[in-house]
Formats: sequence, structure tokens, C-alpha cells
Amino acid sequence: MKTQKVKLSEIKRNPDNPRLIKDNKYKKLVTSIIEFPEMLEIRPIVVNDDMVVLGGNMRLKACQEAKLREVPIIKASTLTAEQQREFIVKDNVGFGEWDWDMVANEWDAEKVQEWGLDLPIQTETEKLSGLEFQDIYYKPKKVPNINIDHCIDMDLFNKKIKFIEESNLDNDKKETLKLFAYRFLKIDFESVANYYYFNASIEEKKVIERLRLVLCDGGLEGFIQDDILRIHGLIQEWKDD
Amino acid sequence: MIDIFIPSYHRASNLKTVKYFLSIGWDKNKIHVFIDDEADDISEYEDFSEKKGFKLHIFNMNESRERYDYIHRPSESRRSAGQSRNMFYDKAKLLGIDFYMVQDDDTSNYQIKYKGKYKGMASFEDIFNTFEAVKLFMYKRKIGLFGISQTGDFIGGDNKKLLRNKVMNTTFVLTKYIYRGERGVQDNDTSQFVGIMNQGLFTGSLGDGLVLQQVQSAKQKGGLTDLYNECKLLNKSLVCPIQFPSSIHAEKQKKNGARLHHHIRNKYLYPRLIKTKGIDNIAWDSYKEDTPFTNEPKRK
Repeated sequence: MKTQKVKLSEIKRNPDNPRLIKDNKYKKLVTSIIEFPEMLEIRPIVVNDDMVVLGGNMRLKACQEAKLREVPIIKASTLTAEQQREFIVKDNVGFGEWDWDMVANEWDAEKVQEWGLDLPIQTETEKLSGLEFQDIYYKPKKVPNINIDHCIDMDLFNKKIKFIEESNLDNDKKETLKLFAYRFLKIDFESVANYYYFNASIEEKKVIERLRLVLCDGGLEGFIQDDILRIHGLIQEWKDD
Repeated sequence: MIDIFIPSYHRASNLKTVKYFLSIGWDKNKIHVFIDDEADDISEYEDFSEKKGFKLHIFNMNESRERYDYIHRPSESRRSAGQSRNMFYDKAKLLGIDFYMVQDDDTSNYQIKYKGKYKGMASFEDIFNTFEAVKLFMYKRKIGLFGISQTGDFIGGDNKKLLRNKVMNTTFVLTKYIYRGERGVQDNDTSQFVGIMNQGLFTGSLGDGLVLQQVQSAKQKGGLTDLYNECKLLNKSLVCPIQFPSSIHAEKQKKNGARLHHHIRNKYLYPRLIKTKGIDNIAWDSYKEDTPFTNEPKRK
């Protein structure tokens, strides 16, 4: 695929591109195109055979604002229709803002996730609720250098163990009684959630989930919060009274 | 329409919950009152049942004593409410009922509460729809226990909480997913909620919305409070400190004559619920080692 220069007026914006760009970032893009037009040579706009943009919708808009006449493009003639859609998402992953409604309504959620786009997980909640409400989920707080052993208080447990050790019981009985002493362990579930969220390795996460030291709502059939909002919605008529 | 299970004790002539649900048009065949066979007012309950048409179930108290362990060992004499809660599972199974709601026998009505303010009486449709929605939600996510808030804890305030991890008297039970506990079947909702949460399973109560309105039974003769007092179960939530002492902080009250009371520190009590992508351990059968899930009572 070769880079070629074409008139700006020949290129069409892609109305299906769900990526948005915030005003301040857009202004920076316009400035950088004016001050450093060679950037476009290095990273040309990608179009299909119909001259519709696959990659570079925002650059095109910025070029129009910068009043450029010609811009470098690459024609991705070899891509199938499906590959073109895939390209749009992959080219934009990690950049700018997204029109999540458009993603939700016009794109296959599984596919775009496969292509590396992290879908926001609160969209449904926001859609369901015009309410101000206190979220049901714990928001983990970053605790620097937290270790898993910070999540458990063993003081009382150790004192009980010491007492058992100092007793005159035989070893078998001591070992059994030590098991009972585990009830004096104090688990700080908040710290566990913080650790899980920020510090745990993938393998540790699996074990923490398995022990149900955190409750993970993966929204497999919709999030719990969304269901609770739906129940609240049943009494909608009272809300505005 | 869901089935409503009502444990009762010495309230034959004034079964408020039954009267209320009948008055709003609930199917009388879906209202079940449970008493034990040692009660001294069985005939009064039978008369009322015949007159109103609800289902009366009289369970064998001795059988219950033998089959179900107790955490607090109250007096032998009167334990029917607690025991009947334990017997519900079996009765539901016999009747082919998977899902039911447990309600004390002194419910005045349901009201609608929004942002901490009462909006008026709930209609039949409000109650019916809410109950059905809770049922659907519990089936969908395999949740065994869920509640609806009650007035005592929630009067006043502009509270925007959607979910409360707290005991409720309106308790929905999905028998397939209920945890009966290794510690012996529990005798009241407080311990049941706390026990399940501590095991790392999801439960909770609606914060706002449909709200249970109860009479101030503590000031009245008879009823469940008398029973709890007789059982030396002076405060239902005492079960929580007994089972999970590390979550309790005892302190003097700032008001109320500086009496000692306990404060439950939730961060030591149950796992935090967090939103994740794809990973989900809410359902009881997420992991193979957790099956079979429902424990039968230890004592037979």
C-alpha cells in the first residue's frame, strides 16, 4: 500500500467511527498539524476504496480546520468489510473518547472487546438510573505497597496459639486445637479488596476469588446493581411527586 | 404470586400480616401461617384460618427440636418462631414451593419510600411487581436470600443507598440456593444474613422503595418479641457477635445513659462486592468444591 496525496475534499468522514475527541485535545491536534504538517506524511489517513476514513477521522477534521488543501492517505483496498470495521476499532484503541452509545448500538460488543477495546461497564447502570444513588460496589482504594499479610490481624490468634503450645497436651491434641484457634483470625475484607484490585498477581486473584474473599460481580447476566435499579424503577411514578 | 410464610406465636386473634395481605387481595392459598403443636391456642388459629381461608401449618415441635440445632439454646418451652423458620425449608419442599417470602406476624402494611421520604401506601401492584422482580433477580443470579427494608432502621434521612447489608424482616428465600450453615440451622434472619455474607455469598436488602411498616411489637403483649425475650435472645443481632466476634466493637453509647452497646464493623464481617469484567463468583455453584451446597442439619 502506497502513500499518495489527494485533495482534502475527496476524503469522506466515517459516520460510524465511534471515537470522540475532547475540545482541548482537538485544539492541540489542529495546532500540531499547522506547526508540524510532516506528521501527516509519517502517519497518513487511512481510507477505503470509497475514500471513507477508516483511520484518522479526527485528523481529517483537524486538517479541514487547519485549511489544508491536500493530505497524504493510504488506501486499504485489500481489507474486507469486516476487516475495515476491525481496523477502525484497533486503530483507535487507547486514544481519545468513545461514543459508547454508538458502540453499544452499532457494534458487536464481543468483537470490539476481542479487538482490544475495553467497554465501560457502567453504561447499563447509567441508562437505567436518573437517580442519584450510592453505588452498591466497593471502590477499592489504592494503598501503596500493600501486602496480603496486611489484610489479616493475627494478634489474638498468635496469643491463643502460644497458650496451646505452652500447655501440657500431647502434640496431636495441640495440632487439632490450633485449628480451632483460626476463628480468632481477623480478616480485613476491605484491605483484601484493595490488595486484589491493585497488587495481586493473576494467580493470587484466582485464589482470592475462589476463597470468596472478594465478591466479584462480573455481570454475566447483567449486573446486580442494574437489577436493583430495575426493581426501584417499578415505583417510578412516585419519584417526581 | 409468591407464597408468604408467617411464623406466629400467641397472636391467633390478631394476625396482622394475614389481615393485611388478604385486605390488598393476596391469594389466600398463598398465605401460610406456621405454629407448633405445643401452642396453647391452636384452636383459635384453626378457627381464624377456617374463617379467612389461609393455610395453617402445625408442625411437630419435638421433631423440630431433634432435627435442628440451635446456636443459643433457649428455654425448652417456647421456641416456635425460630423452629418454624427452620421447618420452612422442609414444608416448602413438601408443598413443591421453591420460592417464598418470610414475614413476621405483625406487619401493618407496606409503604413506598423514596430518598428517605415516605410517599404513601403501596398498592397491590407495587407489592406484587416488586416481589416478582426480586424473585426474577434471585433466580437469575442464584441468590438464596434477599430482603426488603423495614421502618425501624430506616426512618428519616435522605438515604441514597440501593443496597443494605443488614437484617430485614421481609426475607425472600430461594430454597435451591439457600445456605443452611455448618453451625446449625439458624433461628432468625440476622444470623442467617450475617452467616451467608460471611461465607462470601451475596445477600442484601433494598435500601429504598418498598418498605415494611410494622407495629411496635416490643411494647405489646404476645408476639415474637415475647418469644425472643423468653429465649434470652434479648437482641436478635446478638447472634452476630456470637458467631463473628472479630467484627464487633463494644462501646458506650453517647446518648441513652452511656449504656454499653456493640457496633458491627462491617469491614471485618464480609467480603466486599466489586464490579469486575467477566469474573463472577456470586452464584453458589461457581466452584465445584462448594457442591453439594445445602447442608442438612447435623442432628437427626
